[in-house]
Amino acid sequence: MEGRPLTDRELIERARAGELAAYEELVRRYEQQAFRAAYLVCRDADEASDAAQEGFVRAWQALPRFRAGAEPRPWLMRIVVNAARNRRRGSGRRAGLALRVAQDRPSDGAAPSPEVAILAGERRAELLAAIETLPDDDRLVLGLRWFVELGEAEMAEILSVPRGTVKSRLSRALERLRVAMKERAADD
Amino acid sequence: MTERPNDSVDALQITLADLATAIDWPDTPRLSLSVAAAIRSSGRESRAWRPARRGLLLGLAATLLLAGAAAAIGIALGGLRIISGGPPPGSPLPDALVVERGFGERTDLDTAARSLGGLLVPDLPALGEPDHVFFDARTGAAAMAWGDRDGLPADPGTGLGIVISQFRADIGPSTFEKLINSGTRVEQAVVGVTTGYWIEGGEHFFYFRLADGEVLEATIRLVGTTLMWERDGLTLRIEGAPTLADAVRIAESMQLR
Repeated sequence: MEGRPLTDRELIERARAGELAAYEELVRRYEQQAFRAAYLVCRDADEASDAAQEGFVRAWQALPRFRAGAEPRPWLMRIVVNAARNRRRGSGRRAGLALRVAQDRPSDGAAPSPEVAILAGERRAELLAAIETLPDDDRLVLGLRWFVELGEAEMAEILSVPRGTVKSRLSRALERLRVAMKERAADD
Repeated sequence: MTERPNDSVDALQITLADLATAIDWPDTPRLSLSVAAAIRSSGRESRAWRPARRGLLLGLAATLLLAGAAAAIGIALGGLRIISGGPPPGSPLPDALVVERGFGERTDLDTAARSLGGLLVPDLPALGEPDHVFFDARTGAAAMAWGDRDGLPADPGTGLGIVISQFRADIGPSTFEKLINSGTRVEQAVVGVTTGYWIEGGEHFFYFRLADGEVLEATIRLVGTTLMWERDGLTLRIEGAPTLADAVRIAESMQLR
């Protein structure tokens, strides 16, 4: 046994050779990101959980078609996101508000004053509410980029589009978000 | 106040990054455990994978050799497949319908596989062997048709339940513009690890582009649903599946012969 953790590529090569434990470790590494990405699409925790599990099982079955030398994470995430999209379409419904701002989240540093905490909480809630008014595709690219913290190159692979398309979609989504926030501010 | 767009976008990105730290996500389930359990329960956990491309090429070569040998000594490979089970063949398909729907010439799976340079065939007990196999030399397209099956009812007018067509061509961007313009609903769907299209509603039709660049209009065989996707250099479509899940189940079972 090596004295260091196996890399993703080493794990997926072992998984391709039929080693389920290696695949299990790979899933463990990315289950949180995958679940959150699925949650952004499904907007329901149970549906997201089912979609992520379905995606990871599909990926196991598709291991023969994994391109040797490629990065496993975006490949896995793409299959999970696609499974989530299929489920979302199949459900035929638009779920309610998906994301919430945590209240009274403990801070590692000095606690802000109550007034500052309330203002910050209101600002975040306002931003989330504006995001909720955006089209699904805009919410997804913003969510993958900032909330799941994926890079543009990975997003391109996950969404099966060129990187330039990711850039332009992000740019458009940000622009629409700015407009949505201004409209909300004007309404107040 | 004057506002430069880039400054505004930068500020927004900072705000989004701040928001990301405060989102109250649902608890992440222990997917590694449930995924491993699901794989174990499917009985596929100990399968050793071959490199995809090499495996595919070897598989194709073996199929062609086997099919060629069978043809040379006059053995129907279909006889071996019948042992694996499956429902009995459906009723005969009238010749007039074969011509009307543009199926081409009647043939068998092995001949169609040789003509096409590899044929993807569903490996699904509920479906079994196709009742009818066709090859259209003009378009280089093969078609397989099934009659009534459990959960996959046939159209009472034609006796056709599921029809799968495949040819060596790409789908082409104009395909779906045409479908959308005709008012048909088109959605992306996942087939294995590739993206396909699920088409519902009305009498849809589409074009496809042959390897030499010629564009042909495809004849639709069944009114209703179509799942279309590409795999192994083939463009495939399943017509007549009651739901997307049924179509995907059939599609993902397909094995190259």
